[in-house]
Amino acid sequence: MKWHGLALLAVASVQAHVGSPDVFFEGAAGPYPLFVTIRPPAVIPGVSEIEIRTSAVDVGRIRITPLPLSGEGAKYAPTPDTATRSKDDPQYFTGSLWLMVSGSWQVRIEVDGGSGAGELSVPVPAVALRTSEMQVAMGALLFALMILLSWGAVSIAGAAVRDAQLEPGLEPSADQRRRGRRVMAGAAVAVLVVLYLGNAWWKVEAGAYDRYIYKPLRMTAALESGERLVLKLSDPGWLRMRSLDDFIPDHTHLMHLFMIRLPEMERVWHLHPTMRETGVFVHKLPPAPAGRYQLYADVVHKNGFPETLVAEIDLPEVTGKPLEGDDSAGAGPAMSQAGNDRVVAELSGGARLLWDRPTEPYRVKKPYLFRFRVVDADGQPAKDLELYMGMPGHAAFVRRDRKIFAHVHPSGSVPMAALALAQRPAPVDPHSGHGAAKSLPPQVSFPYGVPEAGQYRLLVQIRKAGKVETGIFDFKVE
Amino acid sequence: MSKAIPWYLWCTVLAVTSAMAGVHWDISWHRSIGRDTFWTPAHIAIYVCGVLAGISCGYLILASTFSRGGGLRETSVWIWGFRGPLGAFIAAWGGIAMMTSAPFDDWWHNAYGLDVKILSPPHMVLAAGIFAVELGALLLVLGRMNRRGGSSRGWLYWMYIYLGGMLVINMATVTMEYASHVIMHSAMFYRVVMIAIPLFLVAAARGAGGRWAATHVAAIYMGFWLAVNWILPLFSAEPKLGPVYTQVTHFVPSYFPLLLVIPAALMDLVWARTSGWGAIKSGLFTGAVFFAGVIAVQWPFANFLMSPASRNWFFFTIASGYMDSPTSYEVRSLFYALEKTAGEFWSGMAIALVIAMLMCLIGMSWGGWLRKVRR
Repeated sequence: MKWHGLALLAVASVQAHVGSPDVFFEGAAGPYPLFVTIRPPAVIPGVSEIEIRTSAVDVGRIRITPLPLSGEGAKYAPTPDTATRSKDDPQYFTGSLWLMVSGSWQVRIEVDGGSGAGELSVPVPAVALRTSEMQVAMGALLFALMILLSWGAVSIAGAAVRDAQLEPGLEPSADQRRRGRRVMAGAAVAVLVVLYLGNAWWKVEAGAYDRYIYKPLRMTAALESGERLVLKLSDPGWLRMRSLDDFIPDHTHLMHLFMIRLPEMERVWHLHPTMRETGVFVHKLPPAPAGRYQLYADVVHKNGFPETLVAEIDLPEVTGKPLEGDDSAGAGPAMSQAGNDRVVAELSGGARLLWDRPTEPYRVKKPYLFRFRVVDADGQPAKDLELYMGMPGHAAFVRRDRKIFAHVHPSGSVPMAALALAQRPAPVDPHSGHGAAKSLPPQVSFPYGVPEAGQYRLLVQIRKAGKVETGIFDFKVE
Repeated sequence: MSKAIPWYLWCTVLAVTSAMAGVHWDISWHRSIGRDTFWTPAHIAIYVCGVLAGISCGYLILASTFSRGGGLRETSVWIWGFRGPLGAFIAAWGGIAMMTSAPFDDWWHNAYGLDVKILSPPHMVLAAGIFAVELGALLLVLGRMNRRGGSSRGWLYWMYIYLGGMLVINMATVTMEYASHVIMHSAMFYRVVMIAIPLFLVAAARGAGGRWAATHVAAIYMGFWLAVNWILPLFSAEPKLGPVYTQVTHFVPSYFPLLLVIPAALMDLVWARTSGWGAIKSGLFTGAVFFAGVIAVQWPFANFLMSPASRNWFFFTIASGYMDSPTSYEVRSLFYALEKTAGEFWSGMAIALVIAMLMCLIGMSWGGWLRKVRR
């Protein structure tokens, strides 16, 4: 109710990626390089966990603050929390922040140290993802206490009528005992009514929360005229503030579509459909063999909320039109035949994409920098790398069962459009700093951590000498 | 004089005081700082209530059950093979309910998020527990008071009045989300007040039997509420949650208490002049008087609370929680009409009157029963 100050605030929408809620971000707060991991809560309001690693040795203090990414609320920050420095690792800091409503948040990170002060804001989409089931032990404990309290209330009511008004030393008469039993019967009915009403109230609260749990936009895919992919978006009903006509460009495109051939994921396309009308995106497909395809479509709402929409489509052989603009394609070995120890992907002209993979196995939820180098046919570091849509590279992580997907950039898992909103004042650069470099080094890295164990396929895209190249790798996380 | 009043009575009074101070501290915490943990001082104060109640009532029940001397057994009731004063069992029940609410609330937060509202199922289990401790403490004092007169009755009377005031505070706190002055010109406000207040105010007053008992209970409610909410802003606090629409530097008080002493005094006057009336007639008339008294006082007082004259530390309206938007009705000092038509308003007020009459009827009946409690 908006007339009083004790109730919750209003709410807003969405969630990035698929099955991968944690935010990984690499950037700089002034002179201090930071690798930030933010683990949003599964329930909202809830507590997000913040982990910050810095390579700088002169960081004195890191302060963290949660606030909405956009809108009026973004202007009114609360008092910052000081992140806790690890006793074992002085370059590692942790903290916890409450996120009070579903929506697009940011964590503002302020660093003080020997090199002065620096600030960085990391967007965080926060949504309610689930309702916890009650553990058996907890359920048993609460049920036992409910029985104890219920029977206790009935017994107290009986004693109140039977004994409480007796003069000291007297015993209750038979009539008083009968009255006590009658009152106990009435109290039992009253207790049952209270329990029934309490249960009904609980159901209402749980139902209200269920409606609050994130429901991504739905997407259906169809083929028109043999070559035009038509993606229709619809809202399954979630929060009223979500809209189908408020998407903003994320590095110049309203939608980034990854089309992956099933079941072996050996062919991939990174396409950019355009919006034909509200909720309808279209794209003329490039040549593609017949088969079933998995579609992951990234969009960003105007308040910085990213959503990844999912669909599948069976395609006949598409003659299509050649790739143009920022569209790209890649091919690799079938997933079932590829080895998890492969660290080299062949590129055009004999060039190679090399994965500098750590010797120890990847672990679930641990943040990593996935590092890659590009060498020419002669083995020398490539000198002709270029920005691809304003960035040194793009990566996509897909688990074999396709229930986990993340589109990651060298800055991390945050959409560039959201990152632009987090910067103060908002920049005009659609690539939010990625496009600043003139000559690119031959390396590219992607901060990310897989949310669950499984067999993953990793697609890495760079632009070399005017052509977008795609390297495909595989790895397994136990 | 204090030697005549056993330690366990003081202990239960302290328990109740700790709970009510803790609850108001906690509400202010959420409007000032926002974020908390289980181990905040406010939460500790609340749960100390359960511990103190457990100590005093556990002693009473064990001593009454197993001790053959001292008169405890003769003034006890019997439940599940145990003996003890009725109030001890009720307060013990409250302590168990309070302890039950802790894991329930923790699970609720994990399942549905960290709610920051008063009305939720686990919070109501906690409120029921506190209420039971208060009622138990009240009955402990009442039984002793009804069994004896003499020099210690005066102290017992005031302990009883104090505990009656705590009962009213508990109910007023539970319904605080409907107590803002911005809805004091809506029928919903009066319906909620009539549901929450007169039953316990009347029962406690009639149980005491004093000439001005209702006025005294209402004065305790107002005095305690004012004291806590005048003291809290003396301590600094800063918001840890955002957005911070209103800058907060100290603990934010809640709403100014209802001006209950005046309708309570009206009830005392009515009872003094209608002692010969039948129970039903007296109860219904008391409800009508209380309802009229609350409207006569609270309606114009709401106008005052909307005025600049109230925007000071005394009347609280200067204080807003960090989350209170500058566009909110409270910050702008505007009435919010919950009923959209005159028909809705008047039917709502009629319902409030009926509720007041029924609650006073029940309260007087219950108060009459309380006066006979001996154990």
